[in-house]
Amino acid sequence: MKPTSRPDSDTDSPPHPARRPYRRRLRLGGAISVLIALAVAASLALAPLAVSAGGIGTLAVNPTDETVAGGAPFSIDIVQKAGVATSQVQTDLTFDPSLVQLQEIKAGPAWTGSVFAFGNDAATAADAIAGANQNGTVTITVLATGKSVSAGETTFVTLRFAAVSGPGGRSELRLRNATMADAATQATFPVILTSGSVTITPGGGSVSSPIASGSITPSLPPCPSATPAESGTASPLPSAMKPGPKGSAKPTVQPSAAPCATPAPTPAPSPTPAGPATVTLYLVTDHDTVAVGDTITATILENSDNPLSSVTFDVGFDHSLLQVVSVDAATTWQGATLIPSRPSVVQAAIDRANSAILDVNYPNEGVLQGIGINVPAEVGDVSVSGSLLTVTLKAIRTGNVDIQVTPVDATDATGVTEQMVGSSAAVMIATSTGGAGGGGATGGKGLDVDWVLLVSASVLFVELLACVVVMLLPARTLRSGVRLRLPSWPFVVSLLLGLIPVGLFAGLVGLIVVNSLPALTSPGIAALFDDHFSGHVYSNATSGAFGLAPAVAGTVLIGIVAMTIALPVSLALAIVTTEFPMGPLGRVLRPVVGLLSGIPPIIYAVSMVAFVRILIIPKFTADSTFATFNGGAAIGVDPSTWPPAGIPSGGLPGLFPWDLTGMVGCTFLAGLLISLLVIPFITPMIADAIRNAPTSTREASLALGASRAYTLRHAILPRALPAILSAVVLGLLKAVGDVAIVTFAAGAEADTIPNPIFDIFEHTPSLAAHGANMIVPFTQLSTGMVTQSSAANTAVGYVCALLLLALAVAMILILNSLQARWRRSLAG
Amino acid sequence: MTARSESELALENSQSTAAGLERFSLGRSSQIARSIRLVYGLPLAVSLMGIAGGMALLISDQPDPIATPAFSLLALALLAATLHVRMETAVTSRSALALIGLLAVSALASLLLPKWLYGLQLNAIISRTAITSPLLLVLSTAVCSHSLRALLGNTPGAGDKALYPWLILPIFLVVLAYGLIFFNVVVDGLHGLSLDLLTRAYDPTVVAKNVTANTQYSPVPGLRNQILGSLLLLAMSLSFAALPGIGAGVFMAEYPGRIATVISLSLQMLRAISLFVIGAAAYSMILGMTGTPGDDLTSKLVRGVSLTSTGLSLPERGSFLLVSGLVALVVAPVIAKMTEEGLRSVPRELREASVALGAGDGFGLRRVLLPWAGPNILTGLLIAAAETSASLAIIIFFAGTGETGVGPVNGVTTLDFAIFASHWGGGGNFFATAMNPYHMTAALLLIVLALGMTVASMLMQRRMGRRARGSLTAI
Repeated sequence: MKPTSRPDSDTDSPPHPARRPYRRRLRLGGAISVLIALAVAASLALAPLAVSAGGIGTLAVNPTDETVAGGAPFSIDIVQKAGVATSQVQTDLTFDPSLVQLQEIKAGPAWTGSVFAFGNDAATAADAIAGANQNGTVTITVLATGKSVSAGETTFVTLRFAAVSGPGGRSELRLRNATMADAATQATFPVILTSGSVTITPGGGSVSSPIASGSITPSLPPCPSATPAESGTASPLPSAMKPGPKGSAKPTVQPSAAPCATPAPTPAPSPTPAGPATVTLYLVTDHDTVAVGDTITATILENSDNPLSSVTFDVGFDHSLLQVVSVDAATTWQGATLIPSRPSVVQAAIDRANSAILDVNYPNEGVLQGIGINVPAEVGDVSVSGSLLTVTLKAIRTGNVDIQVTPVDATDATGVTEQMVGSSAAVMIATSTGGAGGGGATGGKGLDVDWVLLVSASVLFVELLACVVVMLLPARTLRSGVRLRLPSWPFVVSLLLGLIPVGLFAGLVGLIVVNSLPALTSPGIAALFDDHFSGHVYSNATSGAFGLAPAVAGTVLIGIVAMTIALPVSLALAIVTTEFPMGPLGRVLRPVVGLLSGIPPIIYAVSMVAFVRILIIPKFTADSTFATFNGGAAIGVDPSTWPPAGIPSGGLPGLFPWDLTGMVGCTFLAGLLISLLVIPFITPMIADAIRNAPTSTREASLALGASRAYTLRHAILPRALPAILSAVVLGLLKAVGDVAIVTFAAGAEADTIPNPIFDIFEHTPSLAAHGANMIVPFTQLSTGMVTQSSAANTAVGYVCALLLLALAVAMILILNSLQARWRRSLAG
Repeated sequence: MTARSESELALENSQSTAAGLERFSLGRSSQIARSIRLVYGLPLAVSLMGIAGGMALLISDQPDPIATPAFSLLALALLAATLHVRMETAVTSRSALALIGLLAVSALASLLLPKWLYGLQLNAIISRTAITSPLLLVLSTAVCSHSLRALLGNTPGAGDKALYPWLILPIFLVVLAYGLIFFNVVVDGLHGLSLDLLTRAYDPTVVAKNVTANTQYSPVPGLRNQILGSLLLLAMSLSFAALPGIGAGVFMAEYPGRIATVISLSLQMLRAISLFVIGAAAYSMILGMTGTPGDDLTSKLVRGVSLTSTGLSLPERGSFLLVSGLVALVVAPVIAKMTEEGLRSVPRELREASVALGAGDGFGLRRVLLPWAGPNILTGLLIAAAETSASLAIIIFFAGTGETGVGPVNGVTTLDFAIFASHWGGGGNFFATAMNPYHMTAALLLIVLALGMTVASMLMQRRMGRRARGSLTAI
């Protein structure tokens, strides 16, 4: 036992005079360092809070809800508010021209002298107003020429309206497509909109009726409520407008208005019923501005002249901003059934839309494909306007998003396919505004995380506090003479600090286990260890094939290939750097190996291309690619007859034989590159093992006249075997745990077990790459906003992690016990 | 087993014969011995050519015109030498005969094998050279080793020298491979390197064409934030890892026992498990926070926020704080191990002297043990610093494109993630499109960063090596 410098006399003896100032300094130093640490932590925590939300703007209709008598004039203000000085504001305002008529647009006091985009002279303004009164929308753009309007709340414009006398009704005054520009940078920034409405009570008035209201109704009504009431049923909307079941989540800006869609401007549905009947689909959302985390309900409505029996369509949206939660058949027609009819297929469509990354041309396009409803004949026909179904979406990031409905197919009651027109609706997703309500939107799951963080932070804090207290403790004999047998501060401090990684490791194991548990129910154990994994991560929800056996096979293959290459080379390198220096070679190689050990794995991964060129293409893929790559017939291969029948080829000319995805690489290449990663990692360990082998046998062997090579083989290596084995195991674990190289060289999607099992020319990734890809789909990484993969995928990914964790723990435990046994046998 | 020992016996036999001939014979006998040795110069020369040919075949994309002649030449040269020795001394080396047999079989095989091999449902069409070139390399090396031993007179020293080809061959091959990697990265990396790229941040908001309906972005590539991010991650994870690492090292070295075993075992596990496991475990916390606006404190600290130029605060996927904590978990064992080693290397006399002079635990640790282990700890920190650049498997789960700046609560972004995402990300992604031409430049920068740290740690180790050799003043 070495002297660990814990003499008992330390507690008894009076403190050495020289130690007094030292202790005081220590106390001071400890206190100062703790203070600095706390200050740093606090400033880190508060830094983001200190920055105010500067540039986000708001535009609001004021008053939001107004009731005026028919025929009476009224005016509304549009109030603008921004954190920075603005120089330009633009917004569209839509209203129902059959209910209210715009009379005048006037810039607010702060904006006087500004220029309207449609010009300042009376004639153009009148034109603009007249146009607005026809199509129900006016675009107001105000440029603050030569000046800027300072931050804060100002009245942007005042609009004077006149209510139309008549039956009365309710007109939405909706703000849309608004932008503001920063006066300093001229950069536009998003705006949160608060729309308003006006209710016109029935009554006569002196205001002239709308300009030719019967004939010049908008050819493209902004929403079904504004469609001409020719067919007599103009009231399907209220039922569709009610917020979805989850729409009650706290909306940040009160959604007083039910914004409607502007139909796609392309083929205007002819108002005349002549010719083939046209079905127009509208998409209506219950909010036009939501906070991240809130849900919006998009209702798809249709308007057709003929009775329909089934309608299908696609709903497109930016799936990096919105995620589909559910699709429900609307209640306008009793007995209408959703297309597709099976809930699992609907869920599959939702999953696909949420993580649609198949189409590289539309990286952010999620498309809910082929949904619709079927109406049984006995129930009735989907005749004129009515809501078809609702899609509940959840906002996950801020931004502006268009939700589009694109028609696919509509069949009328007689089985005739109808022409269809789609539309879209814009939604803006903002962070929640208003500091007080901010935390409320996090929901139940966020609380759990808070709790976890709180516990871990408090544990850390208590540990640090204990460290400080123990360090500051005075001499361990109290004045009264009672001897406290407190451990020395180095013991306590190093124990507490050393327990931090232990605790974190335990927590890590717990997290992995907890998160992989759902996989036991969702795909189930049998399915988990099945042979087959469906080809693409993002579509496996459909096939339900979650077998991890291919990834396990890939792990084994990669481990075997990597270690087969790495072990002899490392052994040679270790021998050269220790026993056979070969003149300067050994001296040079040792630092070189040290240097190589610092190369990050991603470097090997990107070097894959060079290896493919030099090694893989000429040696293992002698197909037409090879032929064209090398100038065709120069090597005696005719590309037109190559590959010969019976050879697995992609079926397309110019592809590698195994390659259906256009990816270059294979398990063998991954193993090769990983071996290059592992070599500098295990060489120093093997060198240490050789150097630390018992010297007695080596000296005896050399003394007896054996050559150094003989000594190495018979006296050193057998003794070094346990240590070499541990190096090999650690190298194997490193090889198996690599993600980057495998992803580049063998892909990240395990398909089926390679057949034959030793086929290292397939792409069979290891568990690590496969699992990581299951949890975060790699192809989306560079967008910076990864769609969360489906729950089943994630759980399966965690099962991969669990398997790797179990492998590592088992290997280390076995290794430790083996080494203990060897040490005992060597000692004995 | 018996066959092997027999052949060894024969080898010893021939060794002793040759040695005996060399040492004790005079006149003609010594001339014979010299001619016996020199005749192996022929197979040696041919085998060197064979090794060169094997190398050429290994990286050649042509079918092998030289394999069969090379095998036959090797066999003939070795046969000639063996026959000459037999005529002179009546001793035949069995290993040479076996080698000749193998060479003959190989020559025949390389002649008879079809140019392309396929079948067994193997997913490759294997060129014949994939088999003949390693075979040629191995057999040439065997001939080289054999003739080297004979040329040097079959002494024990010659046996050592005969091992050299076997050692040099794999080393040469692997050095070629590393050379290829470096060449590839440096050449391609320098191609895209420009000061502009290094000082500019990736900016996706640059608009090439702004039509109200259809905004087309043309992001500007830039590596500034990735470089700063790598450095920040390095600094933060080191500062997180230093105290627990040193503490664990001190405890393991100074207070061995059950608890120390637990600590050491869990550090070992942390070292051994895949980084992917650590990343996945931590990512599950983020998963629980999906949809959380970037407003509450937890989300800020764990996920990170990015403030856009307009003041909008967006939640990120993981902050530098979180990720550097995770990376610290991976590199802390390195620091602990080096600390432990340093403390164990404290000379017994120093410990005893300090205890004898009345120093307590704390004083001893602060004034005697830690100063001694200081260089080790520093080395551990430097190795750990180099390791932080290899933690991509963790970063994958949390990193973003880093367009909104670098700071403790910003979304994490590093050079290696930039390489990964720009190379692997889908074709339609802005980041991949903008950065893909520069991923080798990022790789070059990453190599420079990692190798800088490694060189520093190696220099530290060299200084410690001087101390170990006895000079206390070298510290």
